[in-house]
Amino acid sequence: MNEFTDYFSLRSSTMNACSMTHDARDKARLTWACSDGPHAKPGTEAVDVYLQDPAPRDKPLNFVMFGGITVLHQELLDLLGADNIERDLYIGRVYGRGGKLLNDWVSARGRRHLILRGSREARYRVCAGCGRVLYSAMGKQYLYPAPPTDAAIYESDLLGFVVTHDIAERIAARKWRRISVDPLPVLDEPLDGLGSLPV
Amino acid sequence: MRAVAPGWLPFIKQRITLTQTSGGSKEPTTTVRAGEHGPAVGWRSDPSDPSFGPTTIHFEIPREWNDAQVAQYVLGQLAENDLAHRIAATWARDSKTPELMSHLQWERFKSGMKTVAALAGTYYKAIAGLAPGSGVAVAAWDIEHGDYLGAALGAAFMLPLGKIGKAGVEWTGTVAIKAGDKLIAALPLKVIQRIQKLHPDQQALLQGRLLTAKTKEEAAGIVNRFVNTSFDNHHPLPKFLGGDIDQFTARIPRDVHVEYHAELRKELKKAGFTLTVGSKSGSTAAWYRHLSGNPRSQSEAFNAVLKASGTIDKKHGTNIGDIVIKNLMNDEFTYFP
Repeated sequence: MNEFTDYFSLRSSTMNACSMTHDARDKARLTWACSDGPHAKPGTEAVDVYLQDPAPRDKPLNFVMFGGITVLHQELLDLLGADNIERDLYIGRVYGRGGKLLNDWVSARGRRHLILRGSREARYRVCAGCGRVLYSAMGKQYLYPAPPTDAAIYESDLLGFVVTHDIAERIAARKWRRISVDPLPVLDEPLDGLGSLPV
Repeated sequence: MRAVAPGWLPFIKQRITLTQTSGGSKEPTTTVRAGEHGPAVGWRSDPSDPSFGPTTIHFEIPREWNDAQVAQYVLGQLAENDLAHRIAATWARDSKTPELMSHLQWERFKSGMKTVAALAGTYYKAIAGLAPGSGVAVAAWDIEHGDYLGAALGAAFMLPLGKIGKAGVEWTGTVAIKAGDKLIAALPLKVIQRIQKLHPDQQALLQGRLLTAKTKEEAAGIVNRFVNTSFDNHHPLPKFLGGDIDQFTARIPRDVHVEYHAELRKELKKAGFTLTVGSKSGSTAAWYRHLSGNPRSQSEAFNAVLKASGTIDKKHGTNIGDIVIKNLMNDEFTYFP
């Protein structure tokens, strides 16, 4: 870990994202999901997710393809700190195949949302349905501009989190195979040539 | 016997004992013994097991039977009695007398296998010549008609043979593999039973491969390789592109699965996708972000999926492309506009 960086990205390298049931998708479209894409509307708070999967794979971090809702195992949640969770996250329930409540997993939405900027092939669009900024890029990842300082856990657009140094250190120590913890520099100018993105 | 089945005389001299029934019983009996006077061999045993030594067949015949009745009974037992049949079949094979094998099998057909005979029909003798020593052909599977595998097995196991007879069929039986009028091979029932347990996709794949066989050795090689192959449950709409976990899947050989993903990577690259597949930079989350930020990119990626599926289907006889379309029609994926 880079000791001189304040922020770290926390992301899953899974190739086995979870699938939401068809029924739950239909209901989500009437409430928190955007009608123009498989993402949550800005401002969506806690969401209960209903999976086709028996349980999420690749512990401790994964996400649900429809909605891009992040799911965390309790072991990861325990490392985030109760105060941080209370202040920064909206926690929902996760139901596995057949509607079975999975007590070891939660869904999590961030009070603060950050876009991890890239260095090449970058572009963005504003969703016509909900106004959310949908960004994609390759290459080096960083933050621009600096995040607000009123949080220790931020939701990232790569379906994981941005966390502060002390949290990152605790998570990295667990050496989970399917989770990567990478330093995120905060740059004065973006490398993608897109300037400031719409809020 | 000399008049009815002269070919069996050497076998009868070496391996058969005839005595009268004890106590004046009117019912004949058949007993297989280890050696000439050893203990009886159980019906579940393999009489060719060397630990038994040379096994012998002992018939107890009612006193009042004539020679014709005795000959008929002996020949009938060589066909119907599982242990006696295996001893006789092994002897016929070892003595390289296919006509005796054919005779044995014909006797077995006559004694209660009319259903099977109707199925196997005129192929029966050809099977005996084609696969001497492989046992009794009890049914035919026409690989040009996929459902015939089930029909063949149904016929094989619905024979009016009783428990012992069924065990015998299971032990020694074979199923003739035909492609229309062409007889390809005869495969042991045990192998056929393994094929029956395969997923319908796998059975269809095997049938396609068997059609390429020109000789019985090729057919046997194809089947052997096939039943010993590891299969994967392939998600034809890749999950990293939005395919559901619960979608119609394809059972394909593991090596074909690996080849498919290499082909898909190639097609995605050709379509202009620069994201890798797998690893941190090519994770499903990275693909999610890419598909969200680039309108119509999912449909372009699905075109690449169809192309890769078509290439693999053409090369290996799989039907991944059909299942891709079925999944698309059934909305088994998360849609990115």
